[in-house]
This record gives sequence, structure tokens and C-alpha cells, in this order.
Amino acid sequence: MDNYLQGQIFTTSASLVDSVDRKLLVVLRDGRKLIGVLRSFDQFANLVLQDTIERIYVGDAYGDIPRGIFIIRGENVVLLGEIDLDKEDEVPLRQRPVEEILSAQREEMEARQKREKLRNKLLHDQGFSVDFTETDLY
Amino acid sequence: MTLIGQQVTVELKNDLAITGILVSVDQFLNIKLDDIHVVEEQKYPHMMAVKNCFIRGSVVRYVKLPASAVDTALLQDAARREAQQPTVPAPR
Amino acid sequence: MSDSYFGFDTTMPPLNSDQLTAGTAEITEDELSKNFEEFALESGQDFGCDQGFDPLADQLVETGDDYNEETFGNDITNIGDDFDFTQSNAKIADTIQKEEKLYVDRRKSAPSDNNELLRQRPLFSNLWDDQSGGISVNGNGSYPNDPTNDPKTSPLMPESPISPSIWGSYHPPSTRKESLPRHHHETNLHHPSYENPPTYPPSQISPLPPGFGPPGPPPTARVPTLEEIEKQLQRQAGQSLTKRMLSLAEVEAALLGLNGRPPPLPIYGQTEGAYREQEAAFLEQEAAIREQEVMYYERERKRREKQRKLADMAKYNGLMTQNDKDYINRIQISQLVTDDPYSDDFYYQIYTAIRNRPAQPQMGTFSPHASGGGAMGHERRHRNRGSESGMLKVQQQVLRIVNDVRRKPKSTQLSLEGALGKIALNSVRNPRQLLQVSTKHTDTHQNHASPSGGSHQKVPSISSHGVVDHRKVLRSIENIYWAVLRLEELKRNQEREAKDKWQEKYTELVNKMWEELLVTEPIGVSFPHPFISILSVSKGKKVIPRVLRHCNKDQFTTLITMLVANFEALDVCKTAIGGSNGNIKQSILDEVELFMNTVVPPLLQFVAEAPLKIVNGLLTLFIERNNIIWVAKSKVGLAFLTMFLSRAEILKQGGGYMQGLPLPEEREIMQWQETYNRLFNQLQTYFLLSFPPFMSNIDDMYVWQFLAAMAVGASMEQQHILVTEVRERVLETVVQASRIPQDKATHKITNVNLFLHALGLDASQLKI
Repeated sequence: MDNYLQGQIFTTSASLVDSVDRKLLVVLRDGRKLIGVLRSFDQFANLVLQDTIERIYVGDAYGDIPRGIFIIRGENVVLLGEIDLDKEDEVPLRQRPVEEILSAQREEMEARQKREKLRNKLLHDQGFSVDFTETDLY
Repeated sequence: MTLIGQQVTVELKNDLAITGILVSVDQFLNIKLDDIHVVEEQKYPHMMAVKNCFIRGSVVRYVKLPASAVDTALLQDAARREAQQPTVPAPR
Repeated sequence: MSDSYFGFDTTMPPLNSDQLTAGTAEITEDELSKNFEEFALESGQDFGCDQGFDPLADQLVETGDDYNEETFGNDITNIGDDFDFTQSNAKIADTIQKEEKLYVDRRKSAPSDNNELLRQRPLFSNLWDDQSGGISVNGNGSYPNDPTNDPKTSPLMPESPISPSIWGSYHPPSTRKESLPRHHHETNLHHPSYENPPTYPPSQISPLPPGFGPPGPPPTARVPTLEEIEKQLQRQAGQSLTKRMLSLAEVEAALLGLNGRPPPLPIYGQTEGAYREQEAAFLEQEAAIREQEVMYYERERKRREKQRKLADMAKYNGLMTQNDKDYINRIQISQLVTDDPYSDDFYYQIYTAIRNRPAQPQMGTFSPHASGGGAMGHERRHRNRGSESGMLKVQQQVLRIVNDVRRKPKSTQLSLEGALGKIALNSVRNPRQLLQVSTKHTDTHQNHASPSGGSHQKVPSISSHGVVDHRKVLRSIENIYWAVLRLEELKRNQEREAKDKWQEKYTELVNKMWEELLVTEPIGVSFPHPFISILSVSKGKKVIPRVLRHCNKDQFTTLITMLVANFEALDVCKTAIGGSNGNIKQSILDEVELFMNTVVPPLLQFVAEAPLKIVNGLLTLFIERNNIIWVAKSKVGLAFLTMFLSRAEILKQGGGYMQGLPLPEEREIMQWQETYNRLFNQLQTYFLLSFPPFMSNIDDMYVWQFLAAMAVGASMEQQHILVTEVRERVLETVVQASRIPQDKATHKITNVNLFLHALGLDASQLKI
């Protein structure tokens, strides 16, 4: 690695500055995935996204909900990644209408809850404490 | 800083593990990786088209480093200093 | 084919409709239209504009073509494609053919025509002259019933003689000789607005690829493989805005993308049969090229798609100005300011110092000392210029920011003008506290939290407590580390401080460290001795070499004396002796290795400089205070014995003279001999016990070394005893060596020879 570069990047801002005006994927702590163009940020890594869509993934399908401009409080960000403009159309995923994807998401969630309930019941019967519910773990 | 340019794996608190070339780390343990690939890609389809990423330090669970790149004895010393630092006045 | 082609095409002067109508007077209209109609009927093609043809007649006459063969070569089949900018010309191959026919016809009627544009083409005409079938071979011949037959009903003239004369004359007509133009032709047929030829914009006259033409019915199924391409093209057509914006880039891309193609096969065969053959080969290549084209379009489409995305995004680019970015960066850097990079970034500083001797500039921290000067400045000079000046610039910027921050009064918070809220300073040093842990109650034994604050005066030191438990040992070790770290830091900063003041600090810290080593604790109060307990913890072993760097000779002597006196209590001695089966736990073996690598080397160094008197004293103490037979079963025990024995031997032989030591007195040598005899007598009949079990994988070199050291100082009689005792082991080893791989065997023999050489023998002399 170039020493020059090595010397330069040691602040949050320096590592975010390259992503300004680029198309990003932002993953939030509640699991939501936002895709938009980063327009600005500050020292807390609060972000401003433009032309944002919320993308919902279920299995190998996804659906988009247009959202517009987002100001994201930094603490809610899990990660942000620059999207490869060449690759993004090549991913082996199918785009579905939003309604379809939302209902698929609901089904998925219900299935998970069912599974969890069953597991908790089994654990409970064995004498385990089942207060803990699986969240996104942040 | 000493690991810049090395390949590391960052595991997040939501189990997502990302391997990539370390570009930068700041004082909050925010980590920037380049040329990333997700360890269990099929589980995280949203990461497929992402080429680099900035990970917020607060969501990091582990950073897996190449063992050869870490001087554990020195790290212990550093930890000792760190532990002493807040209450230790400058040497007289 | 691609729009790059059209980028050129649209601007081509000869396709201008004005030019098409110019110079009508110079040629008789009858003549020309007759020719044209003749051709059109024959070829089944529709040019749709008999009167628009007028100006071409005079251009078709040419003279001065005598050197054409030299200039353009006889063999048109070998024409390369390096000039073939787009390969698009391929699709007008048929046009060229038609035009050839036209040309031939015209030459008959107007032999003295002076056509500049066509002067390069006699070869083509010759070929055509030779060919009996002429037009009939042309793909167009298969369309006699084409509804476009009537020239008057079809306005489009893709086969305009001028267009190919410019573009096609340099190219051997290749692949798409009928598909695209034909399709296009058919498509445009149905467009009513094409009725009036002279008003056509040039781009429409030219053979457009389907996607860019006016909207028409979808392509016919004549060449099904084309559908893919056309789909793409049509998709592209929808993005006309971007396309226009990027036309120049596209032209470039097209040029680059097509340069690498193989030269198209010739289609002008000498005979009909040859032509058919060629055509077959041609079809193959056509397919390959089509494939390539598909790929090319795919690539091109992607590139353009990316460009479009970028263009979409670019609208609000720069909303965050460089100033904004700098401002945020400044805020962050101000949080990182430190007076002491060695404390705040200790690991990095030392790591780079150790590992990357050609050290990197330390940009992570902003010590005033980190900029310029010293070793670092020197190293920087070796770097290349670009990054050097960049470095310097960044350093200067950082330094300025740092100084700005320093000027402001120190506080934990900083409110910046225009910033929302306050910005916490020193966030690394002063993290947000989440846990409230009281250290007072956990530190009942000793107030470690402030070891520098004279804790040993306030808190009763370990010695006055008497018995030392494991917990206190660990505490002591940490205190030793603390002192060592301080001492090392002090050494690094030696030049920065006044000498006497520095010396004062240094001595104080060394004393503190010495205290914590617990070497001077009275023997017999705790068992094992506290110092031995320290050495029995691995981090205690690890710190020893660093401690000894700051010890003087007296401290050294005290330390080694204490160690020797309590040797058998060491973990690496008492637990590292195998039972009857010789099994030792791996964790203990690791400890032994650690001890050999950390504690032994500095002591060996010390002993290697000690006078005989001290060596003698140490060995005496060793024998008196320990069960030497037992100790001699351990690796470290043997290492110490070997160390003393070899040093004494060297001194006896006057080796100390080189180190400035006086020759040992007779009395000292006598005393030594006594000690040696004592040792020998004690170990006699037990020598073999020092070996690890024969079949174990442990390298027994250290035993052979010890035996060699014993043998050197032994009398003839003692040597004899020694040999008798270990004879079996020697023979066993030599026999074993004959059965194992070469490299291992060599090592075994070398080990044995350590001992045998000391006796003046060699393994090779042994008869087995």
C-alpha cells in the first residue's frame, strides 16, 4: 500500500469522502436496505441520500419502493457500500412488483416467527429461559 | 494502520462477515474495506453488487486479522499502557 | 452498424441531398436514368429516385487510374481491415456490388467520365467484367418479386452509388451483405414520408441500422440471429438523449472495439464454384462475427448504461463542496490531536519501529516531532517525488490544524461555529463512559491504579506482608512491566531531557523495578521464593530480558545467585522432569522453551563475562542448595550446569585474558577443581538419567553438550567413568542413526560427537 494513502486515511470523513456523489447501498440497523446517491455527510457519519429507493429482498427476488431524499442518523447505519454500476444489473435476482415482494416478506416473517415459537416452546419444555427473542442483534 | 493493505475479515453483530482489503480504520473503529466479498453470499443477496464498504465501528463483532501481522507481546504492552494511562500522571 | 458509423455517416458530404441534385446539367438525364432503371430491374432492388441520380453521372467517369494497381494492389482479397473503421460497411456489400454493375454499365455509355470518387475502382470492375453472372450471384438477385421493385414507389436509396463509392471502395464487401440494409430497406418502404427524395436528410438516405432508423415494423425473420442485436439496438434507440451526448465517446469506442477483427473473407471469387465455397466459409465467419458483434453490443450497451447512470447522478454532483469536506475532516482531526503519540498510539509506533525499519511516516498521530527531521526525514527522501510532496502537504495541513487546536484552551468539549451541538474532544482518550466500575474495592492488596504515585510508601509492600500468594506475584509482574515500559520510554526520550534530571528519573525507575522483582526478599518466608514465583509465570519469564537491560552488574549477580539458590523450585525445573516414562506436558515444554529463550540468554551473557571466582561460587551454591541429581534431569538445569562448566574451562585455559580479566589464581583453580569433583561425584552413576527417554522425539543435544562440558574438565579416571556410563546411549544412538533418514542421522551423530570430540574420539571410530 502506498504510504501516502496510508498516511491520509485515518478519519471517518476521509474514508467517506470518496463515496460522495456515488451510488450507495446503506444497510440500517433495523435491516432495511436503502439505495441512493450519497450527497453529504458529517463527522458523525450522518448521511444524506438522494433518489433513494428502499429495496426489499426475499429469497432471490427483490422489490423497490421509491423513497426520495433520506437524512440518516449515523448511529442507525450498519454499513454502506458503493454499488458497482456494471455489476448491479447482473445479479442473479428477479425484480418483482412491490406488492408481491411485501407479501412475500410478510410470509417469510410469519414463517420465522412460527419457527421461533416452536423452538422456544421446545426449549422451554427442556427448562431453558426463552425470554430472548432473536433480533438483528445490535 | 499497520494492517492497511492486508486482507481482513470483519464479522458484524448480525453475523454478516465481509472479507476485503483494509483501506482505513478511524478512531471509532469504523472500517473501510475494498474488493469485498461476503462470506455467505447467498444469505446476503443485497451485497452482491457492492464493491467496497464502510462499516460502522459500533456494529463490528470481530475483526479477523492475519496472525503474522500482529505482535501480541507488543499488544500486551500497549494494553498495559492503555490501562495505566487515564490515572497515571506524567513521570516525575 | 453501430451509431459510431452513423456518426461519420451523417456528416458525409456526398450524401448531402444538395450535392445529389447538383451538376445535373452535365449529364443527360436520359442516359443515366436508363442505366439506373436497367440496374434496378435486374437486381430486384429499388432505388426509388431516378431523378435524384442525375448528378452522379459525371462523377462516375474517371481517368488517370493507370497506377491504381500499384496503389491499391492487384489482389483485393488481401485487403486488410485496418482501415475498416466500423466494419459497418459490411452491410452495404450488396450495394457495392450493385454499384459495380452500375459502374460497368456506365463505363460503356460514358467511357470518358471523369469521376474522382470512383477512380480507385477499376479492379472491381475488371472482376465483374470477368464474371458472367454478375448480379445474379448477388444476394439481391433472389428477390425478383420484391415489392420494392418499382423504383418509383420506393423513395429510399440506401444503395446510392455515392455512399458506397466513398465507404465501400476501400473495403472488400463482407458479412452483412444483405441482411441489415435489406431489412432496413423493407422497413422504410412502408413509410409514406419517403416519397420525395431530394428533401431527405442525409442520415435517412444512408443505410441506417434498424435501431436507429425511423420506427418501423419489427425486423423480418429472414436472418433470425439478428433479432438479438436488433432488440438491443431498439433498446438503445430509446435512450436517444444519452446517445447524442456521448456520440464522440461512442465513436472512439467503436473504433477501438472493432479494430481487432479478422479481415473479412473475400467474396469475389474467380469462378462460380470458388465463390460458392467461399460463401460457405463466409457464412461461418458471418456467424462468428455476428457473435462478436453481439458481444460488442453487449459491452457497448453496458458501458452506455453505466454512462447513463452516471449522467443521471451527475445532476447534483458537488453539492457537498470541497470546503464542506475539509471542514468535516478538520473537526475529526481536531479530535485526534495528541501531545504524545508514543502513549496514544504506542502499538503502531513501536510496531513500525520494529518491523518496518525503513519506517513509514507516522501520520496517524500528530506529534510535533513526527514532522520533518531526524531519521524519518531521511527516509522520506528515498520515496518517490509525487508521494513525497503529497505527504509533505498533508503533514503541513495536519500540523496547522493541530496547532490551531492547541492554541485553544484545553477542554473536553469543543463547540464549533455553525456546528450543531458540541463536539467531544479526545474521544479516543476520553471515551463516553458506559460502566461505572469502582477500582477501590478490587484493589485491597495494593493500590495498583497509581503505581507511580509512591504506592509502595503508602501501601504496605509485599515484603512486610511476609507470605506472597499467586495474586501478589501477578501484581508484582504487572508492576515490573509498568516500570519497564516507563524505562523504555525514558530511554527513547533520552536526548530530550536534561542529563542529570533524566538520570535521576531513570535510577528511580530502576529501583522501583528492582523492588518489584522481589529478588531481595528473604529466603524461607515464602515457598517458593517470590522471585522464583515470578519466573514461574510465563509473562514473568518474558519480562526478564527487558528487566536485565536496565540492571547493573551487582543486580545481575544478586539475581542469578537468587535464581541458582532456588533453582529446583522453578516450574521449568520441578515440573519439567519426566517420570519413568519421560512424558512431559506440552504446556510445560513450552514454558521450558520460553525460559531457554528469554531468561537463559542474558544470564549466559553475564556468565560468559564472569570471573572464575563468581562461576565457582555459583556452581557451589547450585550444588549445595539443590538436589543436583534431580536438577540434572531437567533441560534448564543441565543448561545452567553446562554454562558454568564451559565458562570455568575457558577461564582455566586463560580465555578471560581476552576480556581483560586477570588469569585465575592457583587457589581459585584448586577451588574450582574441588567443586567440579563434588559435582562429578554427586552425578556419578546418574549421568544416564539426564537423557530423555531414548525413543522420545525430544532432541537430546543439550545432554550431549553437558556431557561434553563435563568431559573437558574431567580427569582421565573421570573420563573413563563417564564413557562407561553413557556408552550404551552412544552406541544406541549411532545404531539408530544408521536406520533413519540422512539429515536426521547426521544430526544424531553430530550430537554424539559433541561428547566424543571432548574425549578426543569420533563416532566414525566406533565399531558396531
